[in-house]
Parts: sequence; structure tokens; C-alpha cells
Amino acid sequence: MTYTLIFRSIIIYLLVLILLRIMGKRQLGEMQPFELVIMLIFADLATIPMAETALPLIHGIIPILTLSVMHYVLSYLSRKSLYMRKLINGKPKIIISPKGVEHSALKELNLNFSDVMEGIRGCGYFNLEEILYAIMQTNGTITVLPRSEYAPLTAMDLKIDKEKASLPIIVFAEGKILKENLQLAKIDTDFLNKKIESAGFKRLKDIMLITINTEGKMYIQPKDGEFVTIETEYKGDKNW
Amino acid sequence: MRRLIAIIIISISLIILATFEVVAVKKINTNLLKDVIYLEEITKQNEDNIVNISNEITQIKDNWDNIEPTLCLMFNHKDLSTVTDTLALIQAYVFNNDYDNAVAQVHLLKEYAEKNEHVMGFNLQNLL
Repeated sequence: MTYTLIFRSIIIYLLVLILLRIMGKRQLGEMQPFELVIMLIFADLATIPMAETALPLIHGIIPILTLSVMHYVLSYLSRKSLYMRKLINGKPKIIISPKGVEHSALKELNLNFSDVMEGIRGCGYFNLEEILYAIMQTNGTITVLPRSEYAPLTAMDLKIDKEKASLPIIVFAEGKILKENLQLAKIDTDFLNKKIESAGFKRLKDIMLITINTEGKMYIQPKDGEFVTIETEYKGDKNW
Repeated sequence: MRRLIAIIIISISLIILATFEVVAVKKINTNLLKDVIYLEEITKQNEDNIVNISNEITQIKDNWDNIEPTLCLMFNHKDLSTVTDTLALIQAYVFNNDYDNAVAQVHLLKEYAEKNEHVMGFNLQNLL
């Protein structure tokens, strides 16, 4: 019986894992209502045949597969048709407008003022007068557009030049050289070895993580001790 | 595109599996019911010496034992074991020439066989 339970658990786990990969990645807070419903039912369906050996495993597998197909169909429809998207996902609702809090919208969404305050505090605002618009998105999150006088300053507002943003790529992690990323960055192992030596490390074995960005800045995190950043002559091909 | 192909494969597999199940259940239940009706007849015919039907009941039980593992892939094992248990009881009563109990169990088996088609089949009651 124990073997049966072990193998049933493995089969269901792998099946759910594969199906979740097929369905695509979404964080819990970003799920649309129909996705959340499917996840909740999935959890329940997966556990019943896993533990109840009198039930064939197929009693869990078939509903899970059916729901995956349903999920794909609903996702496809909501992607292709605006009408279906509104029907399946609902539509964003303005809960704070320039006039203030929209009472009718709150009533429609079954929200109270505490929920609204919690939502806007989550966006970094604590006073209602700071907000021009607050919108309840279809996935249940509240997004806020502040009045311009309360909006955070940007480099553009201050008319200052900032260092260009640059995306680092991991080339060495947990004792392994990531060859694919090395090729992407168009550097080789010799280049890495030379740079870690120049940074004061003897061997790659002592290093936990190395990243390099498109501007040639290398971040070296040793297994023991503080991280080091070095500027290299490599200026990157901006391949990534 | 890969996702679409996976979904198409899953959908086709589900349709094939469901159709196969409906056809298999229909066939298996019809055969079981036929066997039970035959068993009922020969039981009545051999009221004086029911041991005469030992071979027939053994044959029916063997048939069921052969198809039960396949049905276990699709149906609750507890539901299926009621048929197995009843057949084993009939066999025991037949071997002991216990007509009254054998006949009662045959009636019970007929009830299960009729119920099975309803429980395992695709119908409005199961749907709702």
C-alpha cells in the first residue's frame, strides 16, 4: 500500500507540474478569477485519488486534464475576443476619480473604505487627496495614479543624466560555469579566470556567483567574504 | 504552438478514453447481466440439487475475475468488489447445495448488475 501511495503521489505531482507549465506562469495575486477557481479545484482533485487507493487514479487525472483544457479554451477566448474577456475576466473599475471615492463602484465591487485604504497604502500613498485615479484591476489588485504634485520625481523631471541601466547576466553560479550565458556574453573561461585573479581570488572554486552586465561591470561573490565589483575592458555586445 | 499541440493531444486523449469507457462498460455490463439471467434460470431448474450448476457458476466467476482488473482502472474498487463478493458467496452456497441462500444471492447479483450499468454509465442522473 505504501508503494502505491508513493507512486500515486509522484504521478499526480508530475502531472500537475506539467499541466501548470502548459498553463503558463502566474503569481497568485495576478490570477484572473477563472484561474483562481481552477487552481483551487486542482488542489482538491489532486489530493483525493492520491490518498484514496480504492479510487482509480484516473478519477483524479481526468478532471484535472479536463480543467486544463477548459483553462486553455477560456484563456484563448479572453485573448482573442474583447467581449469574452469582459465576460470571463470582468473589467477594471475606477474606484477613485478626480471627484473622490466612487461610492457606486465600491458597492458594485463589494468593497469597503478599509479595503480601499489598504489598497492605496500598498501603492505607497496614505492620503486620499494624493490620488487622482485608483483602479480595481480584474485580478483584484488596486493600482494608483497619483496627482502630479504628489508623484515621485524622476530623473527626467530633474533633467539629470543617470548611469545607463544595464542587465547583468549570470556566468558562474554554485560551482558551475553557465556556458550558454558565457556564449551570450561572448566571453570565455580564460577571461573569467583572469578577472577573478585580478580581483584577488585564486580559483573559481572559491567563488559562488559571477555576473557581468552589458557595460562590462563584473560582480564577484566569493563563498566566504564580501562581494567585489570590477570594471572590465569588455564592453559587451548587448546581446541580451 | 507547443501549448496548443499539448491541449489538442489532451483533448483527443480524453475523448478517446471516454468513448472507450462508455463502449467497454456497456459491453461488460450486458455480458454480466446475460450471465446472471442465465444463472437465475439454471438455479431455478436445479432446485433439488444445486451442486449441478457448480461448473457454470465457476465459469461466470472466472469471467468476472478476468475483467475486474480492467474495470479497476476506471471504477471505484469498492463498487466492483460487491459483485466479486456476491459471486464468491453464490459459489460457496452452490458447492454446499444451499439453494435458498444461493437464490437470494443470485437476486442480489442481478440487482448489482442492473445498478452497475446505471452507476457506471453516462446518464442525466450521474451528470447531475
